[in-house]
Amino acid sequence: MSITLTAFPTAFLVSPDTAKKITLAQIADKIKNKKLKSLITNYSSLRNIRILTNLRISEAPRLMAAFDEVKRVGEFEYTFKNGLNVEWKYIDGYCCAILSAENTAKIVPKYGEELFKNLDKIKNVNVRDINSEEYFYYNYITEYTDADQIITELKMREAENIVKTSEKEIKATYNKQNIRYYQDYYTNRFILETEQKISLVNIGMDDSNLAMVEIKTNITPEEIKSLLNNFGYDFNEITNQTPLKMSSNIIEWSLKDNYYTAKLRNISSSHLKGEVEHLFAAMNKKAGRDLRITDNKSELTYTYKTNYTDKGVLLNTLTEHGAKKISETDDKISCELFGMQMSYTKDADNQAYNLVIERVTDKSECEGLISDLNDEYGLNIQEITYKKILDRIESENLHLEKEEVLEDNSILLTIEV
Amino acid sequence: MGKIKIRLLPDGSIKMETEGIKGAKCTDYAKVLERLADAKIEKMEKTREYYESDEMLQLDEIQNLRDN
Repeated sequence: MSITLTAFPTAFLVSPDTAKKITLAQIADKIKNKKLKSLITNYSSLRNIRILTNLRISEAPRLMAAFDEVKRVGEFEYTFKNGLNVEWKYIDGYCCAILSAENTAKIVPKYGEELFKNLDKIKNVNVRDINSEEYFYYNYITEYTDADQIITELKMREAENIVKTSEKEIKATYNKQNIRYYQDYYTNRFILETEQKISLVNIGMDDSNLAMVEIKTNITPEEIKSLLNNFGYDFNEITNQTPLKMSSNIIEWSLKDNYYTAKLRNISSSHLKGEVEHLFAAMNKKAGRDLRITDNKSELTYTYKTNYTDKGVLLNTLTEHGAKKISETDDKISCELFGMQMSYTKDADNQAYNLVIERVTDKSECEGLISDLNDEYGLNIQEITYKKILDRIESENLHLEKEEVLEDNSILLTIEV
Repeated sequence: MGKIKIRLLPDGSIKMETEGIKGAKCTDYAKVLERLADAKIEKMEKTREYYESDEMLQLDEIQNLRDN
Protein backbone atom coordinates (compact mmCIF):
# COMPACT_ATOMS: atom_id res chain seq x y z
CA MET A 1 0.00 0.00 0.00
CA SER A 2 1.12 3.56 -0.64
CA ILE A 3 -0.99 5.78 1.57
CA THR A 4 -3.49 5.24 4.27
CA LEU A 5 -5.82 8.01 5.20
CA THR A 6 -8.67 8.81 7.54
CA ALA A 7 -11.52 11.06 6.48
CA PHE A 8 -14.99 12.05 7.65
CA PRO A 9 -18.06 13.27 5.80
CA THR A 10 -18.95 16.94 6.15
CA ALA A 11 -22.13 15.90 7.96
CA PHE A 12 -19.82 15.90 10.99
CA LEU A 13 -18.11 18.98 12.36
CA VAL A 14 -14.99 16.99 13.25
CA SER A 15 -14.09 13.33 12.83
CA PRO A 16 -16.16 11.08 15.12
CA ASP A 17 -12.94 9.45 16.21
CA THR A 18 -11.22 12.60 17.30
CA ALA A 19 -14.24 14.66 18.31
CA LYS A 20 -13.23 14.79 21.92
CA LYS A 21 -10.05 16.80 21.86
CA ILE A 22 -7.00 17.69 19.85
CA THR A 23 -3.63 16.52 21.07
CA LEU A 24 -0.81 18.80 22.11
CA ALA A 25 1.11 17.77 18.98
CA GLN A 26 -1.74 18.83 16.72
CA ILE A 27 -2.05 22.12 18.54
CA ALA A 28 1.66 22.67 17.97
CA ASP A 29 1.02 22.21 14.25
CA LYS A 30 -1.75 24.81 14.43
CA ILE A 31 0.72 27.26 15.92
CA LYS A 32 2.89 27.00 12.86
CA ASN A 33 0.60 29.13 10.74
CA LYS A 34 2.56 31.47 8.48
CA LYS A 35 1.69 34.79 10.06
CA LEU A 36 2.30 33.74 13.64
CA LYS A 37 5.42 31.86 12.63
CA SER A 38 6.88 35.11 11.43
CA LEU A 39 6.77 36.38 15.01
CA ILE A 40 8.49 33.28 16.30
CA THR A 41 11.96 33.36 14.85
CA ASN A 42 13.02 29.93 15.98
CA TYR A 43 10.90 27.03 17.14
CA SER A 44 13.74 25.70 19.22
CA SER A 45 13.18 28.82 21.32
CA LEU A 46 9.99 27.22 22.68
CA ARG A 47 10.57 27.52 26.39
CA ASN A 48 7.48 25.86 27.81
CA ILE A 49 3.81 25.16 27.28
CA ARG A 50 1.41 26.22 29.97
CA ILE A 51 -1.89 24.38 30.20
CA LEU A 52 -4.88 25.44 32.27
CA THR A 53 -6.53 22.72 34.33
CA ASN A 54 -9.60 22.39 36.51
CA LEU A 55 -7.52 20.80 39.27
CA ARG A 56 -6.53 22.20 42.66
CA ILE A 57 -2.82 22.48 43.23
CA SER A 58 -3.17 20.49 46.44
CA GLU A 59 -4.11 17.49 44.27
CA ALA A 60 -0.83 17.60 42.36
CA PRO A 61 1.36 15.54 44.74
CA ARG A 62 -1.20 12.74 44.97
CA LEU A 63 -1.73 12.69 41.20
CA MET A 64 1.96 12.76 40.36
CA ALA A 65 2.63 9.94 42.87
CA ALA A 66 0.57 7.68 40.60
CA PHE A 67 3.22 7.87 37.86
CA ASP A 68 6.29 5.66 37.57
CA GLU A 69 9.75 7.06 36.85
CA VAL A 70 9.06 10.56 38.08
CA LYS A 71 11.14 12.53 40.55
CA ARG A 72 9.91 15.37 42.72
CA VAL A 73 12.38 18.26 42.32
CA GLY A 74 10.44 21.04 44.02
CA GLU A 75 7.30 21.61 46.07
CA PHE A 76 5.10 21.25 42.98
CA GLU A 77 7.74 20.44 40.40
CA TYR A 78 8.46 17.04 38.89
CA THR A 79 10.80 15.53 36.31
CA PHE A 80 10.07 12.38 34.31
CA LYS A 81 12.68 9.93 33.07
CA ASN A 82 11.64 10.78 29.48
CA GLY A 83 12.89 14.33 30.03
CA LEU A 84 9.51 16.01 30.60
CA ASN A 85 9.44 18.57 33.37
CA VAL A 86 6.13 19.55 35.00
CA GLU A 87 5.64 22.48 37.33
CA TRP A 88 2.23 23.08 38.89
CA LYS A 89 1.39 26.71 39.63
CA TYR A 90 -1.61 28.92 40.27
CA ILE A 91 -1.73 31.65 37.63
CA ASP A 92 -4.69 34.05 37.21
CA GLY A 93 -6.89 31.83 39.35
CA TYR A 94 -6.18 28.60 37.51
CA CYS A 95 -4.05 25.65 38.48
CA CYS A 96 -1.65 25.42 35.51
CA ALA A 97 0.73 22.71 34.42
CA ILE A 98 3.88 24.25 32.95
CA LEU A 99 5.55 21.67 30.73
CA SER A 100 9.15 22.01 29.59
CA ALA A 101 12.15 19.89 28.58
CA GLU A 102 15.64 20.27 27.28
CA ASN A 103 14.19 20.05 23.80
CA THR A 104 10.74 21.42 24.58
CA ALA A 105 9.41 21.50 21.03
CA LYS A 106 10.12 17.80 20.55
CA ILE A 107 9.53 16.29 23.98
CA VAL A 108 6.61 18.23 25.37
CA PRO A 109 3.90 17.64 22.73
CA LYS A 110 4.45 13.87 22.81
CA TYR A 111 4.99 13.21 26.50
CA GLY A 112 2.78 16.05 27.62
CA GLU A 113 -0.20 14.45 25.86
CA GLU A 114 0.58 11.10 27.52
CA LEU A 115 0.70 12.82 30.87
CA PHE A 116 -2.73 14.37 30.43
CA LYS A 117 -4.32 11.19 29.09
CA ASN A 118 -3.17 9.47 32.25
CA LEU A 119 -4.33 12.30 34.49
CA ASP A 120 -7.76 12.12 32.82
CA LYS A 121 -7.89 8.39 33.54
CA ILE A 122 -6.95 8.86 37.18
CA LYS A 123 -9.46 11.67 37.74
CA ASN A 124 -12.08 10.18 35.40
CA VAL A 125 -12.64 13.64 33.90
CA ASN A 126 -10.98 15.82 31.28
CA VAL A 127 -8.67 17.82 33.56
CA ARG A 128 -8.12 20.43 30.84
CA ASP A 129 -11.81 21.16 30.41
CA ILE A 130 -12.48 24.79 31.36
CA ASN A 131 -16.11 25.53 30.42
CA SER A 132 -15.87 23.23 27.37
CA GLU A 133 -12.64 24.82 26.16
CA GLU A 134 -9.03 23.84 26.56
CA TYR A 135 -6.39 26.56 26.92
CA PHE A 136 -2.73 26.21 25.92
CA TYR A 137 -0.08 28.93 26.19
CA TYR A 138 3.11 28.55 24.18
CA ASN A 139 6.08 30.53 25.54
CA TYR A 140 8.99 31.42 23.23
CA ILE A 141 12.22 33.14 24.18
CA THR A 142 12.84 36.17 21.95
CA GLU A 143 15.81 38.46 21.43
CA TYR A 144 13.89 41.56 22.56
CA THR A 145 14.99 43.39 25.68
CA ASP A 146 13.01 46.60 25.13
CA ALA A 147 9.21 46.95 25.20
CA ASP A 148 9.12 49.81 22.70
CA GLN A 149 10.96 47.73 20.11
CA ILE A 150 8.24 45.12 20.40
CA ILE A 151 5.49 47.69 20.00
CA THR A 152 7.14 49.07 16.86
CA GLU A 153 7.39 45.58 15.44
CA LEU A 154 3.77 44.78 16.28
CA LYS A 155 2.55 48.00 14.67
CA MET A 156 4.52 47.20 11.51
CA ARG A 157 2.82 43.82 11.38
CA GLU A 158 -0.60 45.45 11.89
CA ALA A 159 -1.28 43.73 15.18
CA GLU A 160 -4.43 44.99 16.95
CA ASN A 161 -5.34 45.95 20.50
CA ILE A 162 -1.71 46.64 21.41
CA VAL A 163 -1.55 47.51 25.09
CA LYS A 164 1.61 48.23 27.06
CA THR A 165 0.53 47.26 30.57
CA SER A 166 3.99 48.06 31.96
CA GLU A 167 7.63 48.30 30.87
CA LYS A 168 7.72 44.54 31.28
CA GLU A 169 4.52 43.46 29.52
CA ILE A 170 2.75 44.07 26.22
CA LYS A 171 -0.51 42.45 25.12
CA ALA A 172 -1.93 42.39 21.62
CA THR A 173 -4.04 40.48 19.13
CA TYR A 174 -2.18 39.18 16.10
CA ASN A 175 -3.93 37.37 13.30
CA LYS A 176 -6.93 36.90 15.62
CA GLN A 177 -4.73 35.29 18.25
CA ASN A 178 -4.11 36.67 21.73
CA ILE A 179 -0.40 37.20 22.38
CA ARG A 180 1.59 38.58 25.25
CA TYR A 181 5.21 39.63 25.62
CA TYR A 182 6.59 39.65 29.16
CA GLN A 183 10.10 40.22 30.41
CA ASP A 184 11.95 37.36 32.02
CA TYR A 185 13.30 38.35 35.42
CA TYR A 186 16.61 36.53 35.08
CA THR A 187 17.63 37.11 31.47
CA ASN A 188 15.86 40.45 30.78
CA ARG A 189 14.73 39.01 27.47
CA PHE A 190 11.08 39.13 26.53
CA ILE A 191 9.09 35.93 26.28
CA LEU A 192 6.35 35.70 23.64
CA GLU A 193 3.29 33.87 24.88
CA THR A 194 0.63 32.78 22.39
CA GLU A 195 -2.77 31.49 23.42
CA GLN A 196 -4.40 28.49 21.77
CA LYS A 197 -7.98 27.74 22.67
CA ILE A 198 -9.60 24.48 21.67
CA SER A 199 -13.33 23.94 21.83
CA LEU A 200 -14.51 20.53 22.98
CA VAL A 201 -17.19 18.87 20.93
CA ASN A 202 -18.25 15.30 21.08
CA ILE A 203 -21.11 13.36 19.68
CA GLY A 204 -20.41 10.68 22.18
CA MET A 205 -22.04 10.41 25.54
CA ASP A 206 -19.34 11.16 28.02
CA ASP A 207 -18.44 13.86 30.42
CA SER A 208 -16.94 16.49 28.19
CA ASN A 209 -19.96 17.32 25.99
CA LEU A 210 -22.49 17.88 28.79
CA ALA A 211 -22.67 21.64 28.59
CA MET A 212 -25.33 22.31 31.23
CA VAL A 213 -27.75 20.66 33.65
CA GLU A 214 -30.76 22.42 35.13
CA ILE A 215 -32.49 21.02 38.19
CA LYS A 216 -35.89 22.47 39.08
CA THR A 217 -36.42 22.55 42.82
CA ASN A 218 -39.05 23.57 45.35
CA ILE A 219 -36.50 25.53 47.41
CA THR A 220 -37.80 28.96 48.41
CA PRO A 221 -35.79 32.17 48.95
CA GLU A 222 -36.50 32.00 52.69
CA GLU A 223 -34.72 28.68 53.14
CA ILE A 224 -32.00 28.43 50.49
CA LYS A 225 -29.21 30.10 52.44
CA SER A 226 -29.71 28.16 55.64
CA LEU A 227 -30.08 24.86 53.77
CA LEU A 228 -26.75 25.34 52.01
CA ASN A 229 -24.93 26.83 55.01
CA ASN A 230 -25.88 23.78 57.07
CA PHE A 231 -23.55 21.71 54.97
CA GLY A 232 -20.75 24.22 54.63
CA TYR A 233 -21.84 25.63 51.26
CA ASP A 234 -22.13 29.30 50.60
CA PHE A 235 -25.08 31.06 48.95
CA ASN A 236 -23.87 34.36 47.53
CA GLU A 237 -26.89 36.66 47.58
CA ILE A 238 -25.37 39.03 45.06
CA THR A 239 -24.36 36.52 42.41
CA ASN A 240 -26.87 33.79 43.39
CA GLN A 241 -24.06 31.24 43.17
CA THR A 242 -22.76 28.41 45.28
CA PRO A 243 -19.18 27.22 44.65
CA LEU A 244 -18.70 23.47 44.80
CA LYS A 245 -15.90 22.08 46.94
CA MET A 246 -14.66 19.13 44.89
CA SER A 247 -14.28 20.98 41.60
CA SER A 248 -14.11 24.47 40.19
CA ASN A 249 -17.77 24.31 39.16
CA ILE A 250 -20.46 26.46 40.70
CA ILE A 251 -24.20 26.10 41.11
CA GLU A 252 -26.05 29.05 39.59
CA TRP A 253 -29.43 29.61 41.19
CA SER A 254 -32.23 31.31 39.32
CA LEU A 255 -35.57 32.19 40.86
CA LYS A 256 -38.86 31.68 39.07
CA ASP A 257 -42.35 31.67 40.61
CA ASN A 258 -40.74 31.77 44.05
CA TYR A 259 -38.76 28.55 43.53
CA TYR A 260 -35.11 28.10 42.64
CA THR A 261 -33.67 26.24 39.67
CA ALA A 262 -30.07 25.04 40.02
CA LYS A 263 -27.91 25.33 36.91
CA LEU A 264 -24.59 23.55 36.53
CA ARG A 265 -22.42 24.23 33.51
CA ASN A 266 -19.86 21.85 32.05
CA ILE A 267 -20.00 19.54 35.00
CA SER A 268 -18.84 16.03 34.45
CA SER A 269 -21.18 13.18 35.19
CA SER A 270 -18.93 11.91 37.95
CA HIS A 271 -19.13 15.23 39.75
CA LEU A 272 -22.87 15.36 39.28
CA LYS A 273 -23.28 11.92 40.74
CA GLY A 274 -20.84 12.70 43.49
CA GLU A 275 -20.88 16.04 45.14
CA VAL A 276 -24.14 17.53 43.89
CA GLU A 277 -26.20 14.43 44.60
CA HIS A 278 -24.70 14.16 48.07
CA LEU A 279 -25.52 17.78 48.70
CA PHE A 280 -29.11 17.40 47.57
CA ALA A 281 -29.52 14.17 49.53
CA ALA A 282 -28.30 15.94 52.68
CA MET A 283 -30.52 18.97 52.09
CA ASN A 284 -33.53 16.72 51.42
CA LYS A 285 -33.01 15.08 54.79
CA LYS A 286 -32.70 18.41 56.54
CA ALA A 287 -35.77 19.83 54.80
CA GLY A 288 -37.81 16.68 55.34
CA ARG A 289 -38.85 16.46 51.65
CA ASP A 290 -37.41 15.86 48.17
CA LEU A 291 -36.31 19.31 47.09
CA ARG A 292 -36.22 18.27 43.44
CA ILE A 293 -39.89 17.48 43.15
CA THR A 294 -41.98 20.16 41.47
CA ASP A 295 -45.61 19.55 40.41
CA ASN A 296 -45.24 16.00 41.73
CA LYS A 297 -42.34 15.18 39.42
CA SER A 298 -38.60 15.62 39.23
CA GLU A 299 -37.34 17.45 36.17
CA LEU A 300 -33.94 18.10 34.72
CA THR A 301 -32.79 19.93 31.59
CA TYR A 302 -29.56 18.97 29.87
CA THR A 303 -27.67 20.93 27.24
CA TYR A 304 -25.17 19.11 25.04
CA LYS A 305 -22.84 20.04 22.24
CA THR A 306 -23.07 17.64 19.29
CA ASN A 307 -20.97 16.86 16.25
CA TYR A 308 -23.93 16.98 13.85
CA THR A 309 -23.95 19.49 11.00
CA ASP A 310 -26.43 17.97 8.55
CA LYS A 311 -30.05 18.94 9.15
CA GLY A 312 -31.48 16.36 6.76
CA VAL A 313 -29.63 13.44 8.32
CA LEU A 314 -30.53 14.63 11.79
CA LEU A 315 -34.24 14.87 10.90
CA ASN A 316 -34.10 11.42 9.37
CA THR A 317 -32.40 10.01 12.44
CA LEU A 318 -34.99 11.50 14.77
CA THR A 319 -37.88 10.25 12.63
CA GLU A 320 -36.48 6.73 12.46
CA HIS A 321 -36.06 6.74 16.21
CA GLY A 322 -39.76 7.48 16.70
CA ALA A 323 -39.63 11.19 17.47
CA LYS A 324 -43.05 12.87 17.62
CA LYS A 325 -44.27 16.43 17.08
CA ILE A 326 -41.24 17.25 14.94
CA SER A 327 -41.07 20.89 13.95
CA GLU A 328 -38.29 22.69 12.13
CA THR A 329 -37.30 26.22 11.26
CA ASP A 330 -34.13 27.41 9.57
CA ASP A 331 -31.66 26.33 12.18
CA LYS A 332 -33.82 24.66 14.80
CA ILE A 333 -35.40 21.24 15.12
CA SER A 334 -37.75 20.41 17.99
CA CYS A 335 -39.36 17.11 18.83
CA GLU A 336 -40.55 14.85 21.61
CA LEU A 337 -38.89 11.55 22.30
CA PHE A 338 -39.79 9.19 25.13
CA GLY A 339 -41.57 11.99 26.96
CA MET A 340 -38.58 14.33 26.73
CA GLN A 341 -38.65 17.63 24.87
CA MET A 342 -35.62 18.02 22.57
CA SER A 343 -34.41 21.07 20.66
CA TYR A 344 -31.48 21.16 18.28
CA THR A 345 -30.23 24.63 17.40
CA LYS A 346 -27.17 26.07 15.71
CA ASP A 347 -25.51 29.15 17.18
CA ALA A 348 -24.54 31.93 14.80
CA ASP A 349 -20.86 30.99 15.01
CA ASN A 350 -21.30 27.27 15.49
CA GLN A 351 -21.51 24.92 12.60
CA ALA A 352 -22.80 21.99 14.64
CA TYR A 353 -26.03 21.64 16.58
CA ASN A 354 -26.49 22.13 20.30
CA LEU A 355 -29.06 19.89 21.94
CA VAL A 356 -31.29 20.92 24.84
CA ILE A 357 -33.33 18.15 26.47
CA GLU A 358 -36.06 19.18 28.89
CA ARG A 359 -38.30 17.18 31.22
CA VAL A 360 -35.64 14.58 31.94
CA THR A 361 -36.79 12.44 34.81
CA ASP A 362 -34.23 9.71 34.49
CA LYS A 363 -30.68 10.68 33.57
CA SER A 364 -29.60 7.21 32.58
CA GLU A 365 -32.56 6.96 30.18
CA CYS A 366 -31.52 10.29 28.70
CA GLU A 367 -27.95 9.08 28.36
CA GLY A 368 -29.14 5.92 26.64
CA LEU A 369 -31.24 7.95 24.21
CA ILE A 370 -28.35 10.27 23.30
CA SER A 371 -26.06 7.32 22.78
CA ASP A 372 -28.62 5.57 20.52
CA LEU A 373 -29.13 8.73 18.47
CA ASN A 374 -25.37 9.08 18.06
CA ASP A 375 -25.12 5.52 16.80
CA GLU A 376 -27.99 5.98 14.37
CA TYR A 377 -26.66 9.26 13.01
CA GLY A 378 -23.36 7.50 12.30
CA LEU A 379 -25.11 4.56 10.60
CA ASN A 380 -27.20 6.92 8.48
CA ILE A 381 -24.03 8.72 7.39
CA GLN A 382 -22.45 5.39 6.54
CA GLU A 383 -25.41 4.46 4.32
CA ILE A 384 -25.55 7.85 2.62
CA THR A 385 -21.81 7.83 1.97
CA TYR A 386 -22.03 4.31 0.51
CA LYS A 387 -24.76 5.39 -1.92
CA LYS A 388 -22.88 8.53 -2.90
CA ILE A 389 -19.73 6.58 -3.72
CA LEU A 390 -21.62 4.04 -5.84
CA ASP A 391 -23.45 6.81 -7.69
CA ARG A 392 -20.29 8.76 -8.46
CA ILE A 393 -17.75 6.05 -9.09
CA GLU A 394 -18.20 5.95 -12.86
CA SER A 395 -17.83 9.67 -13.25
CA GLU A 396 -14.33 9.28 -11.73
CA ASN A 397 -13.48 6.54 -14.28
CA LEU A 398 -13.26 3.94 -11.53
CA HIS A 399 -14.60 0.42 -11.36
CA LEU A 400 -16.00 -1.31 -8.28
CA GLU A 401 -14.31 -4.69 -7.98
CA LYS A 402 -16.11 -5.91 -4.88
CA GLU A 403 -17.90 -4.89 -1.72
CA GLU A 404 -17.91 -6.66 1.63
CA VAL A 405 -19.49 -6.15 5.01
CA LEU A 406 -16.94 -6.75 7.72
CA GLU A 407 -17.43 -8.14 11.22
CA ASP A 408 -17.59 -4.70 12.77
CA ASN A 409 -20.33 -3.69 10.29
CA SER A 410 -17.92 -1.62 8.21
CA ILE A 411 -18.51 -1.67 4.46
CA LEU A 412 -15.32 -2.33 2.48
CA LEU A 413 -15.30 -1.21 -1.15
CA THR A 414 -12.41 -2.41 -3.35
CA ILE A 415 -12.08 -0.19 -6.40
CA GLU A 416 -9.83 -0.65 -9.43
CA VAL A 417 -8.07 2.44 -10.65
CA MET B 1 -3.25 -2.06 -11.96
CA GLY B 2 -3.69 -0.31 -8.64
CA LYS B 3 -6.56 -0.42 -6.21
CA ILE B 4 -8.11 1.75 -3.57
CA LYS B 5 -9.89 0.23 -0.61
CA ILE B 6 -12.46 2.44 1.03
CA ARG B 7 -13.79 1.34 4.39
CA LEU B 8 -16.98 3.01 5.65
CA LEU B 9 -17.21 2.58 9.39
CA PRO B 10 -20.52 2.38 11.28
CA ASP B 11 -19.76 5.64 13.12
CA GLY B 12 -19.73 7.41 9.75
CA SER B 13 -15.96 7.88 9.44
CA ILE B 14 -13.95 6.66 6.44
CA LYS B 15 -10.59 4.96 6.04
CA MET B 16 -8.87 4.46 2.72
CA GLU B 17 -5.77 2.57 1.58
CA THR B 18 -4.16 2.50 -1.82
CA GLU B 19 -2.45 -0.60 -3.20
CA GLY B 20 -0.04 -0.92 -6.05
CA ILE B 21 0.01 2.77 -6.77
CA LYS B 22 3.52 4.13 -6.55
CA GLY B 23 4.74 7.64 -6.18
CA ALA B 24 2.84 10.82 -5.65
CA LYS B 25 -0.07 9.70 -7.85
CA CYS B 26 -1.66 7.98 -4.89
CA THR B 27 -2.29 11.29 -3.15
CA ASP B 28 -4.52 12.22 -6.10
CA TYR B 29 -6.88 9.57 -4.79
CA ALA B 30 -7.29 11.51 -1.58
CA LYS B 31 -8.95 14.22 -3.67
CA VAL B 32 -11.00 11.55 -5.44
CA LEU B 33 -12.29 10.35 -2.07
CA GLU B 34 -13.23 13.90 -1.11
CA ARG B 35 -15.31 14.14 -4.27
CA LEU B 36 -16.84 10.68 -4.05
CA ALA B 37 -17.90 10.95 -0.41
CA ASP B 38 -18.25 14.71 0.27
CA ALA B 39 -15.58 14.18 2.89
CA LYS B 40 -12.65 16.00 4.49
CA ILE B 41 -9.30 14.30 4.92
CA GLU B 42 -8.29 14.20 8.57
CA LYS B 43 -4.87 12.58 8.27
CA MET B 44 -2.76 10.78 5.71
CA GLU B 45 0.24 8.51 6.15
CA LYS B 46 2.60 7.75 3.32
CA THR B 47 4.08 4.27 3.22
CA ARG B 48 7.28 3.06 1.59
CA GLU B 49 5.59 2.41 -1.72
CA TYR B 50 4.72 6.10 -1.92
CA TYR B 51 8.39 6.92 -2.20
CA GLU B 52 8.99 4.44 -4.98
CA SER B 53 8.74 5.77 -8.50
CA ASP B 54 7.23 4.23 -11.59
CA GLU B 55 9.59 6.30 -13.70
CA MET B 56 12.69 4.10 -14.07
CA LEU B 57 13.26 5.43 -17.60
CA GLN B 58 15.19 8.36 -16.25
CA LEU B 59 18.00 6.13 -15.02
CA ASP B 60 18.06 4.16 -18.29
CA GLU B 61 18.27 7.34 -20.33
CA ILE B 62 21.19 8.59 -18.29
CA GLN B 63 22.96 5.24 -18.73
CA ASN B 64 22.42 5.37 -22.53
CA LEU B 65 23.83 8.84 -22.72
CA ARG B 66 26.95 7.71 -20.88
CA ASP B 67 27.33 4.68 -23.12
CA ASN B 68 27.09 6.85 -26.19
